[in-house]
Amino acid sequence: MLSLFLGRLFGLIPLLLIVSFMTFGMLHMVPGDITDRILGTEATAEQYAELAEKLGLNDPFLVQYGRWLGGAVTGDLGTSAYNSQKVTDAVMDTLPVTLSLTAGGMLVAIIIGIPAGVYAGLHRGSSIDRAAVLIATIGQALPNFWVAMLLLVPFALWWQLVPATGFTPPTTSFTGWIASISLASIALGTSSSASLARQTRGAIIDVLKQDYIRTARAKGLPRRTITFKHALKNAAIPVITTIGFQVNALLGGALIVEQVFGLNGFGSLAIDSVRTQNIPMMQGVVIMGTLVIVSVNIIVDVAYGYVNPRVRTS
Amino acid sequence: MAIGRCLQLGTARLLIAVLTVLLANGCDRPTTGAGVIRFATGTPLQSFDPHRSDSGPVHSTYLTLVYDGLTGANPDDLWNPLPSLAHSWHWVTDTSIEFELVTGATFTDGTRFDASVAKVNIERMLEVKGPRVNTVATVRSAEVIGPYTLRIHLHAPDPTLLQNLAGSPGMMVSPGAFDNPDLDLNPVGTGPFIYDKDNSTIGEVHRFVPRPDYFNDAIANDAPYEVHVLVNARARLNALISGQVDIANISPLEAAPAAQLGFAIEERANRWFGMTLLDRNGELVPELKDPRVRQALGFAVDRQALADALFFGYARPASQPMVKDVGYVPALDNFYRYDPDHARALLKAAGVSSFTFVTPVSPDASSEYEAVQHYLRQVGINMEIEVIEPGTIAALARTERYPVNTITFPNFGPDSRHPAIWETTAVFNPFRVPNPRLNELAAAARSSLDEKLRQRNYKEYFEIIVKDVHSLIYLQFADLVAYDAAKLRHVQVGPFIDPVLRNIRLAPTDDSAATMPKQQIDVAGAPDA
Repeated sequence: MLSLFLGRLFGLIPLLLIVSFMTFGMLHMVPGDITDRILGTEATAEQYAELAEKLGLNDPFLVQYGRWLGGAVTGDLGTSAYNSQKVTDAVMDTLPVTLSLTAGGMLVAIIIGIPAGVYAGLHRGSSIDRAAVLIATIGQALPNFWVAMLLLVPFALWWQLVPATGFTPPTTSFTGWIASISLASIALGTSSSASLARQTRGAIIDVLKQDYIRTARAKGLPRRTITFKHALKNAAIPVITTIGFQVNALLGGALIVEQVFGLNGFGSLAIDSVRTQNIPMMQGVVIMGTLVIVSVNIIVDVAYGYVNPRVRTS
Repeated sequence: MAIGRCLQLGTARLLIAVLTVLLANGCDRPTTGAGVIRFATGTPLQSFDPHRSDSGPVHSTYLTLVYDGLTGANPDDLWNPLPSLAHSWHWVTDTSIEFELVTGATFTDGTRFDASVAKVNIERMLEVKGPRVNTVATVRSAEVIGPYTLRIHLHAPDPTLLQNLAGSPGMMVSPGAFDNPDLDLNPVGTGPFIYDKDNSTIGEVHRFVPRPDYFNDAIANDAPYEVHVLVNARARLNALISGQVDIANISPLEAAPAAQLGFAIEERANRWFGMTLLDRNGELVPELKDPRVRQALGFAVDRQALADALFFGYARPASQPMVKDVGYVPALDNFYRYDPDHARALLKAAGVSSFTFVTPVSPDASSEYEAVQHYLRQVGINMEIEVIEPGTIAALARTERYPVNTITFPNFGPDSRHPAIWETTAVFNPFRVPNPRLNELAAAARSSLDEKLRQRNYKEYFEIIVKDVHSLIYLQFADLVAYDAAKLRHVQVGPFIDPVLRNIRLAPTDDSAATMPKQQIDVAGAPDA
């Protein structure tokens, strides 16, 4: 298990190098000029040129990338192009918001998706199964920003049970934290819960067809034992894969949902960095985003090893 | 069945837990915001260093809370600034002005403000060459005449100096903080508020607490401020409706639902909507060399329809860049009436039956320019719209790539517009189209302290701009704020986007949370297109 973990960890280094190089390249291809953003419309042509020189924008691409990389390997992702805010500080300020949303969305997906999938799989062909499949299909088709709007109007604007915008850290108020991410998490998790329900249902149906389940039944084991001890554990592998995919999808979906709820998360930071052509900030966002996604993948791999001994030995 | 019951019970327990949290949170809410003025802006903080930031009007929300200018911005009359750190001033000569400074002002680090501090601030402002130093380019030096008397010497007469010293170039920073590496995030000013850095999060909320020792009782404010950054316009309206903020910038689209819910709306015509004709020499599009063709672009468009349909009434038809004061010419107001037949006649007189030009348009303005495109097509002008990357319109307007640009300029006054847009060497005149008469008139106006003479020069100047169609103005549109009138007083939109925050006061009895209507509405939190 340790070698599996270390192998994945070392694989991270070339991946980060490739991602950072490609991001840096793509950001330099984006049309427009940060000097416009910083200087506005009142400056002279000389001031635009001086600022470009000061920011190192006239240096060759590889020199700029090397400068950034030199800082990054020492843990310094640089500072915002607009002020002295550290990129790492900005990321650390916003990451908890997005991770809260992602965790909340995943929780919603697991709480709804897995029980619904298990129940539908165990009762294949029943009216409940058919209803679950229908609801899951619809759920997958719903855009998360639209669900967000549907939830926002009654709960936040009419009844004012939860705030319409903003994030409360759990260290400030635990109930406030739950309230501030509840609607966004439900909006985010709806589509994932539908995916998870469909995958779980399919996995359960597959497992229940296996010989060892038939053997267990023939041995007269109670249904509860067959379901929880044999069927669910073996059905967990594709479900864990789906969860891994869904975490990544939720991180991406948070980009939109954060806008609807006015949450200053990682997605908002990314959008604002692109909008203002704040290259150091954008580069930091991409690197940290890559780290989060790769970390999720490592956790999924390790979880595979836990539920499936063949993965450990291979 | 046992599994099904287990799942049902689990779901029921979860629902109960969620409802408990929601209700508990709902019960906590009434105290939120009591005694605090909470403003939602779409403009994130860039820098608290006034001499280095493009603060000007755009970011003045943040700066004016913590800094004072040598003069004070007057939202009612930009050309007549109010006393601030200078309580009075007089021109010694045409190129020398003397300021009498207040005696009781101190910076938040304890440093006392006096003439020597003002002098080193003026010198620093010139030395760091920030984005707005161009607006006070006439300043040559500052001289200490007495402990509280400062004289500023100019290269040439400058009637806009007092107005511009009310902005970021004239804001005073404690000399001890000049070299602070975090001055851009940790301001040290004389302003009526102290920035509460520990309780602020960049990009989310900035908190300001009143200074008990602020020198100017007339401006001193007892209420703390919170500036919430919500880039999405609909999220700002939602925050207002749900009582999380008391005042918010809104777009015309949100004005009607906000008004229906009982929020007060304030507006101010701050910006023009139209096009800048860059290729007036006809290098890319030969037809544009003829002023009659350029005028046809003006007569072809129904401005009132655009104002009603696209700006929901929060805009008015216009033909000239300025809306009042210096540079505003009443006779030019309706110069371009909607007259497609006249537009066709102008084209015919110029020997043009139809022609095509390409213009870049920002994605957020594409629907407005598609409407213009429709009107132009009716008279035989084919305007091809090229939707560009957000934030690149200004850079493109400085190149010779397009004959026409749709960049929108704020109407700050003619003195700063001329060197930026219409002067032969202006950065937004990439084809270097010469117009010596415009340069003469602008130079004459700018170098005179006589308001009548200035207006006479600018009258002729803007007649050329409008009739010769250097820039084509279709509308003057408003910046809007919606606010809780039961809680706030003295709300006024400033010269660009945000309200004048430091003037806002809490209503005498702060019971607004109870009095604001909680109506059911049918608006949703859709992201901006």
